[in-house]
Amino acid sequence: MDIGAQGRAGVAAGVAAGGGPPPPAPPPPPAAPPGLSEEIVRWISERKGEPEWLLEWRLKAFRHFMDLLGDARLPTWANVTHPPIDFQSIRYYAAPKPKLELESIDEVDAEILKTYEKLGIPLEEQKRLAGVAVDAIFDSVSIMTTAKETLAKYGVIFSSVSEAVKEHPELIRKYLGSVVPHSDNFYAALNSAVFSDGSFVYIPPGVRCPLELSTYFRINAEGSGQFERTLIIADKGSYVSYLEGCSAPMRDENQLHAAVVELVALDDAEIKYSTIQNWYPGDNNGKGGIYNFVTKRGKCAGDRSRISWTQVETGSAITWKYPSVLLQGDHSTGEFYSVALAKGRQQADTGTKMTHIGKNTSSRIISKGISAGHGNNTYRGLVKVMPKAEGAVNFTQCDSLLIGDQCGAHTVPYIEVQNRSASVEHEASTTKVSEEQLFYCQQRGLAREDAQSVIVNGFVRDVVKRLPLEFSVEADRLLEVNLEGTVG
Amino acid sequence: MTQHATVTGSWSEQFRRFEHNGAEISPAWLRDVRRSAFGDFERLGFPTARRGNEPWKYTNVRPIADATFALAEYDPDVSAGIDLHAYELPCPRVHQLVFVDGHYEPGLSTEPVTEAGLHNDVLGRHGDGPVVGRLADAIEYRVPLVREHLGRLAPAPGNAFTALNTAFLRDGAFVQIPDGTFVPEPIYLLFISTGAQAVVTHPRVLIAAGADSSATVLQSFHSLDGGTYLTNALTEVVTAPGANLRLCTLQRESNDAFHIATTRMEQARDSRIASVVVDLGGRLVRRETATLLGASGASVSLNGLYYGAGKCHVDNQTFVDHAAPGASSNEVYKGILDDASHGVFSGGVLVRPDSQQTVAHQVNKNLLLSSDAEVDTQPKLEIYADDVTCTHGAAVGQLDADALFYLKSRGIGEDVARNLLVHGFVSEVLDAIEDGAVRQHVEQAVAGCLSGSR
Repeated sequence: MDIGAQGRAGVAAGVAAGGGPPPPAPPPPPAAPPGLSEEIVRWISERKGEPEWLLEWRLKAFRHFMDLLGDARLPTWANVTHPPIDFQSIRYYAAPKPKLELESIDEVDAEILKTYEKLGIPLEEQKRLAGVAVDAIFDSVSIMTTAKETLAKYGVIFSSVSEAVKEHPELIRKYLGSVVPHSDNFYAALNSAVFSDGSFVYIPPGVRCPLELSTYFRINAEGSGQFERTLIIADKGSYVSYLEGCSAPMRDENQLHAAVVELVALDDAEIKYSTIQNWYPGDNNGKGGIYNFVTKRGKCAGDRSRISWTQVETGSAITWKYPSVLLQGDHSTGEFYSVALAKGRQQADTGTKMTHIGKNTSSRIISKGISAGHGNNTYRGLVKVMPKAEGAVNFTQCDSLLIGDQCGAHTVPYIEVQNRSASVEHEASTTKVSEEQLFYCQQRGLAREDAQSVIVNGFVRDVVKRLPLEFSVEADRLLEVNLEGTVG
Repeated sequence: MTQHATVTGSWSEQFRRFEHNGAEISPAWLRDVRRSAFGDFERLGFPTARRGNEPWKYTNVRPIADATFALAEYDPDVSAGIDLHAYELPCPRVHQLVFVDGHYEPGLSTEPVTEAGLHNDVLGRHGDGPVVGRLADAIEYRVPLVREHLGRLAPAPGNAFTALNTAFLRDGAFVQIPDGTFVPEPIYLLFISTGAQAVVTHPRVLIAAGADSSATVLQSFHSLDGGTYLTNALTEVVTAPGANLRLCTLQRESNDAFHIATTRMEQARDSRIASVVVDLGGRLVRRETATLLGASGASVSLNGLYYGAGKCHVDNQTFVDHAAPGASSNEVYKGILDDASHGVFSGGVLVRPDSQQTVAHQVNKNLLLSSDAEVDTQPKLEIYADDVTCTHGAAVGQLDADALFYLKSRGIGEDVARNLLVHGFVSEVLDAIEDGAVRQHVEQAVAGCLSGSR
């Protein structure tokens, strides 16, 4: 790896709320040697200047992970196949390519800019988009953050987790791991041990966050696993909309991505979390591509709180992701809207878990899976109504669209009801794009490919319309580009 | 996959004794089949509900593994004292076989097929009617179909209870519908458990429907006096092209009984099976119903009704394997869970590559009548072909408050109104029974069960 001082860009530095001096640039080396050991965990923690309790927390997770690994208790239930992962060959921490202080957008790596342009969201435009503050993460270290002043005015904290550990240790200590404990699952344990960085958001009571908060992730360094950790806390009566989008350049080696996202919504708070995921899916033979093993969970801790997940998943060789909601507060609401596309040799096993704990809670699940080529798409979801959850209501709809005769679409919903006052409904369908629909569009003058695109757009409309406007346009474009040449 | 639990020594001991004196008819091939099946059972052990063992996630068979059951002995006095009146089908003619604690009871069975009849079959000269006889006879007279199909559809290595049934295979029912034969009267297989002792029975049924044949088969499981016992039933069904088979199962075991039932079906071109299963009794019930749609034009409808009261645990697992293009399946399972009962439904649908033009529909609906009742439902669709129409739905809830209010506002009392709604809920399943006499019989059983509980 390249050596050089990693740069926290000028615009990115600092914390919104506190202001404060930018933290001193940590010393090189920028990347950890490959392998996982207690030393590496200590190395990461030391390098990030973390307090003792956090190191202990990481070590506890590390020991738990090594126990699981030792007992070979890797999760095998998902409907995906991949060669065994060698956890000792992964580099657990990497800084971005050398960049010193960035004065302006012109200094951003041309390659990075090109990737953004392909996605149709050049950074310049992003900056100009008044409603968006961008905290771009390249290989685990924040290098850019904007619109700090606006956020500071409202007391909103939007920073990297490593900064928040220094600036707001009380919040981190209280909430980190409170929704996804280190013992939650195999990859959550790994993430808790070696997480590199991520975003931290705190919305004070009664504040409606004035901007759509947004982070662009990108995986960059060869062989580096990326272990993001995101923590969003919406205090009483607050509201925040958070966007997460991803892209990755061409790459030969499989890359492991095991992020953890935790959301906490207190009384009357609302969190809207939107994702567009477009990582490198591997070539047509399934070589290369990202393994995306993510744990995302929100806790509606307060009464009348609301958490909504919206995701458009088009990339990654393997997606293994179940954004969930714990409906703990009375009258709380959880929502999950998802579009997952699997083409080429992609495998997507995704869905949600809605756990009804409080009284009169409601949840809604809309999942749209599209399979093309040799892709395999699985919806796997759990709706659980606990004995004390009086008046729980759930509605689930998961539809699959098949394009081509080599792909697969699978639906595995689990429904567990322990309270008779619950009303749980589930419906699902699997079909292909019908010849009649295509024919109708074609005789109206649309090319076959355009016709299919129109039909697919209609199929995903229920979900895409939930995205913020800029994302919604991008999502449509992504699906269109991804489905080129797949007319069934 | 493999489920290891301690196989109690009593099963091995029982198997040894069974091999020595229990099996009165034993061709060498059958002895080998049994022995290898018991080996499979020893290797598999009873399934455990431990993490990762998906098919048994919600059902714990520990109470069965921990208990000791004796193989039922034949006692002609007990059988003589049984009054069949309560189990009679409301129609003038039936082909009826009665088994008491797993033993064939000639005194209670009607028109048992004679030795000569089976010999005719061996020679390929059928009479007009179906062969409805003892499996033991069919084995003894070397009916070719038996050797061909017995244990083929339900292989022992995959499932501990299947292995156990095959290991203790001695008798059961053999039903053969000759080609082109329409059997107007129902074929009635009645299995009665006396419940006097903690016994285990392994009822085994083989049904072979010839080309373009048509018949109705009702299997009924009853308990005389309650009691704790284990019924481990296994049914294999094979159809020739164009066969039309209506299968119905009524289960009214005692409230302390364990009932394990496995049905494996294989369907040929343009064959049709309409299956209705009704579970009303038992303390722990596990029912697996699976069909292989192996050729185009095959269709199946799987319907089920399960009622749980007390601490009853009732688990229905279905699996439809669409292995050929142009086949269709339709599933409707409904559950009513009262008291502290626990209902489980898992419906698997597999559409294999190139099984184009598949139509598969599945619905599972559950009524929770008590706050202590629990239901776990899990539809499971795996689809590897694109030109398909597949849907599934699941719902859990209580009786519609609006509908209840409407009925009450029309002057109907609360109890009657509830009964009406419950009746409406179950009728979709019961209406799928095509034979009038069988439907009437099952409806009566369901009505008696539901009204008794209220």
